[in-house]
Amino acid sequence: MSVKKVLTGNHAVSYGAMVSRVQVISAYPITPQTQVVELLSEMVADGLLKAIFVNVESEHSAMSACVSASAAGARAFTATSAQGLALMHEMLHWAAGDRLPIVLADINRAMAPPWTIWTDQNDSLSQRDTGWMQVYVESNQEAFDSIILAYKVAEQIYLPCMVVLDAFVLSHTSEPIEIYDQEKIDEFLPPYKPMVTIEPGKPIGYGALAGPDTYMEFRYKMQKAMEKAVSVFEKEGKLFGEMFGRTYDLVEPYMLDDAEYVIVTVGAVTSTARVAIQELRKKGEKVGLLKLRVVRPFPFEKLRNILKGKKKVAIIDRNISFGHHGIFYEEIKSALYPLQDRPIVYGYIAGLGGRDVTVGDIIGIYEDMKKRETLDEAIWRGVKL
Amino acid sequence: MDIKPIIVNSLNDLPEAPVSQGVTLVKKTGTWKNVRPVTVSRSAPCENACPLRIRIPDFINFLTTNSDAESAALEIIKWNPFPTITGRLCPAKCEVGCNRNKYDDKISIKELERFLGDLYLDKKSIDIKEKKHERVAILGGSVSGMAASYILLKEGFEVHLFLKGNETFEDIRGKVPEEILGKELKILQNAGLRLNVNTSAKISELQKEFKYIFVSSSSYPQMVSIEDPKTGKTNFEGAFSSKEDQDISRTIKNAIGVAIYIASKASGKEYKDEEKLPRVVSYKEIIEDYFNHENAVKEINELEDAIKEASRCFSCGTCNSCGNCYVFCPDSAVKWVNNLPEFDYDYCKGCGICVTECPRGILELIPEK
Repeated sequence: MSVKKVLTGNHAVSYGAMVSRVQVISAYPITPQTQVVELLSEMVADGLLKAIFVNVESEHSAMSACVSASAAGARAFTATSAQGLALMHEMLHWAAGDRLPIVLADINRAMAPPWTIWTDQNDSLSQRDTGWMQVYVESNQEAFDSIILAYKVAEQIYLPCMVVLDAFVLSHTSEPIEIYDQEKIDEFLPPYKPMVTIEPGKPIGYGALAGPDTYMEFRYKMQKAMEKAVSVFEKEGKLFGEMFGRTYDLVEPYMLDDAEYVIVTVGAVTSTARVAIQELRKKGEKVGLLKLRVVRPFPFEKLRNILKGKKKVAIIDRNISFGHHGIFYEEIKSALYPLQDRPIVYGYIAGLGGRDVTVGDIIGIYEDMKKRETLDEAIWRGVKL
Repeated sequence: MDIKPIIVNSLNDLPEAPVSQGVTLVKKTGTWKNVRPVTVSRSAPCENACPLRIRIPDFINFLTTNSDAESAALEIIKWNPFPTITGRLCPAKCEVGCNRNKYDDKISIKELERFLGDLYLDKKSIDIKEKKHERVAILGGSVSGMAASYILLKEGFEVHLFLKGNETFEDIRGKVPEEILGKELKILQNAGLRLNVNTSAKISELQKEFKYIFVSSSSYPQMVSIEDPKTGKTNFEGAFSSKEDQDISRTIKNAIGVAIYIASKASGKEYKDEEKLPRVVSYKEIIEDYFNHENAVKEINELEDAIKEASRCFSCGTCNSCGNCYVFCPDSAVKWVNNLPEFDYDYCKGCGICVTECPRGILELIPEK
């Protein structure tokens, strides 16, 4: 029988890992992530979770331990933030290149300097091209659910998955969470079967040398796996809905059917945007919301199907690629390019380093988009000019 | 795992994850080299300085690798029948040449020899090769006569020793403990030495009975004159004699040389001059970094002392299985076979690290043909 608990986003992630029956956890503390592994270490110590908790001296080693554990056949988990994720960078490539379905919770924290601990997406998006899947969540319940789903998908396509949630807005904010019946979770998520079995006495090299004659083929296989992951995410999200009552897709439309204008959000700002949309709808504005949940693999077809024929789209980026624009803006805009009836797309940079993005801000973005006539790019919202 | 190449023609020939499918041994990286390491024969300054050419690093290695004093003593006896005597009386030119002099202090080689000689004396016996019918007369019981007796007994001759008085080792009495000289004689007698005391033997008479006669030149200084010091031939047909020297090792060496000549003449075999030792390892070829400064043990009374002193030896020019070449080879191309290095030239790239890291100058790089 499922139970409800009031949990912070961080603890929702810990519970997600616990019910996924992770076997090896290796982590290094960093605000705002620390509570995730703190609670997991207590769960291990209390015998609630049969796992090995490996204390390490850095995030690089944390991911190294996860890589080894996963290669050896264990379900491995870690969590980190910002500089910690950056320090893992090299091993993130190893995890993906070795095709190991590790799950990592990244509590979005802006990159220093200047020193900061508050949310934005530049830490996780700096790791966009490592071959990890990335799921951005809107709520603590979604964080909990997404950990389970991440393992389910990762262990089918053999690529690691990052579950990303906003610092403090989610990580340190409590919400009621439904923890499903463990038997049902076990049914949904069977034990991990590694792609390659390591046996004593039968030595093999993981990540062995591939010369110019084979390297490209391994990369091609990774890309094919990512492409396949789109349908696996969709399939497993539906099954999750059937079993637990919450269905997940790679994108989630909100009041979009008759909308002429669309706001696209990623992460916790989505919840704020829902309120803004409701208010705008009350005023008779034909506006809807599109939540982008899974950004790797990138759901090209789904985005095109939803956004084709719309008048204008405003994308809120809690990130910036310096010298370019907001990263989601660039990605969505380029995804829409092949459409004949593609909408005009505007990109809004907002909420960097944890600055609040309010309902008023989002209504302001909508009004700005509606009246804007030129093809401006990288519009900074709320910056003190 | 099979050592065969993995051919990739399509995606299906590759696994999903980059795990090894074969071994990189298919790539014979040894083809890249333009030089190759080889084991070369080198000698140590000590063995080069020793008139008896005792393979000093070899006997020392028996002590250091296996604490095997018996094999060490046997290794000495192979070259020198009387380590109990030379270990006391020889001028130890080996120690003068020792490379360790340039580092801190020489190895106490002479003392090691004495200790091992004494230690093994009770077990010592002469291993007779093959009994011969020829009889040999030895005139005089000086060290040269005793050394010649030893070699000729070993070669299987019937050896008759004629003494003026009743003393053997007459030239070194008082310099070596009586008990030891007594035991050395006993060993010769056990091998068949026939002793004739208080004799006044004459060559012309002995020639009737003995085809070969060896005359000790210190016991009978005027009896014969040596015409060829190498073979020991004298002015009498069938009579031989060896030069005696201040250096007792030289005296023994000369006597052994003549005895071996007699033996080869008797068996009709060609007499071969001793081969020259290979080039000596100089001090600058020794890698000091691998050695600690240790005080020399000057007096050796226990096996423990001997091993301690032996362990100071650089083992110049002789592989003592330190394993540096094996450990340092970055390509695992040095194989360890019977406790010695062997090169796998299929994979050796000729980097030369093994040569650089060999502390004793045994390895050398030679150009590829």
